[in-house]
Amino acid sequence: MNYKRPELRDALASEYVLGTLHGRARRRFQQLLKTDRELQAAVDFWQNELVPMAAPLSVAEPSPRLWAGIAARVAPPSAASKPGWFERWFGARGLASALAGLVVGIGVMLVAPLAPPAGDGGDEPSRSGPQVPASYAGILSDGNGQPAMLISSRRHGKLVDIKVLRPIGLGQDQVLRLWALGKQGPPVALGTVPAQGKGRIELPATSEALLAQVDELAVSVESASAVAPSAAPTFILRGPCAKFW
Amino acid sequence: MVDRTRAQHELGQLLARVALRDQAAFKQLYDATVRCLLAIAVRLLRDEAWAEEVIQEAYVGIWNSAPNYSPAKAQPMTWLMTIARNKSMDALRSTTSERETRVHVAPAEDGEDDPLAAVADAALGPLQQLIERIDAARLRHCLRSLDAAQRQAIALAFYDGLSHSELAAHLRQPLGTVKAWVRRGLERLKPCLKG
Repeated sequence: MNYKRPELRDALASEYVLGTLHGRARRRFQQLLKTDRELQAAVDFWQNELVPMAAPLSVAEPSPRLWAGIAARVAPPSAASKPGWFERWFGARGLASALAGLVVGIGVMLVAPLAPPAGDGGDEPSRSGPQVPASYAGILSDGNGQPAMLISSRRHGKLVDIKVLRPIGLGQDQVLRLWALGKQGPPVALGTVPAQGKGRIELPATSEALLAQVDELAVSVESASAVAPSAAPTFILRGPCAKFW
Repeated sequence: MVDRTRAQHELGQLLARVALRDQAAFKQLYDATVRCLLAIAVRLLRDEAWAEEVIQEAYVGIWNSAPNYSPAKAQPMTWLMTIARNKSMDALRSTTSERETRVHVAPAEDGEDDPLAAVADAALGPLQQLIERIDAARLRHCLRSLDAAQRQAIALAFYDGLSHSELAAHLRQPLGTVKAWVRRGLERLKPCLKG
């Protein structure tokens, strides 16, 4: 099917929004939407025009279970055990691929064994026995759920290592900024990160101090000439931040 | 008019706070919108338990994509309803045979299939009431320009989630005929909607 013809694209977009596109055709269309901006624009037009019509004549009362289910997935009860963690971020791709990704990521960063800190700040490996260093790690994914950036930091260190998995295109005056998102309060800017290859940020305090209460890390695109980080950043990448040791 | 704009503005503010992970704002957003979003799902899925599962997914999706919401692309309520509709449609369209056994498509009652009736005021709580008086004047006008058959087919597809074959069965018409009603109806709507 030639999706390039505008009448056909519009026909598909309108029927998708209306609801008469289904089964394989619907799924195929949703795949196309991920990369075809013009198709997305056609869908946006129909959504803005038709969806207001969906405002219902009567309302439905939710059971208390509905909010309980949502809250459990969005704000899990404790930081140590997060039942919704994997479903939230790795849903369809599953537990196995999530763990595989994290293991690969940590493996890359752990070049030498590290003993618990003896006042050296924890950034340099020591010569004592082989132990897994305590560290924070995060995999940040883009809007399509594709992993794009790997972040890690030794717990008692002040340095954050960044590895870009999928290069990000930036304009002339643009930089990427890394943010820490906690349970409460606004995001905290940690520093600028590269759009490709590897990088390193120095934190104002140890990772343990800054990241212990952090659930997620995120990256925004900002103007390089701005005086201060944006007050309400829009994130292009985000992902969970977890403690490993 | 002023009230409706204020309601959309308040929703927009809540969405911005949700993007910054403000859980209290998320609960407020939920309280203001769940009865509307759940009603959309119930109508499409014809099953309250199923609708609640789907709307749970919708709100988790709203929490996750709030940072990606852009006021330039859509009004807050339209964005929220779109998520609820898409989740419901995905659920519906992936299990057509299941729905056929669960659902008896009731024959059209007077006014029920008429989208013009559906865009009238709904009796809702304060914030919801303001939200729901969405400006559908242009849509109403454009729908009026369609044939009754086209309008009815579009309404049944949109509100009740009927597929082409379900439409054919419900309206007792050949499949090709209902497909053409939907297609021509949408084609005629577009230039009118674009103004």
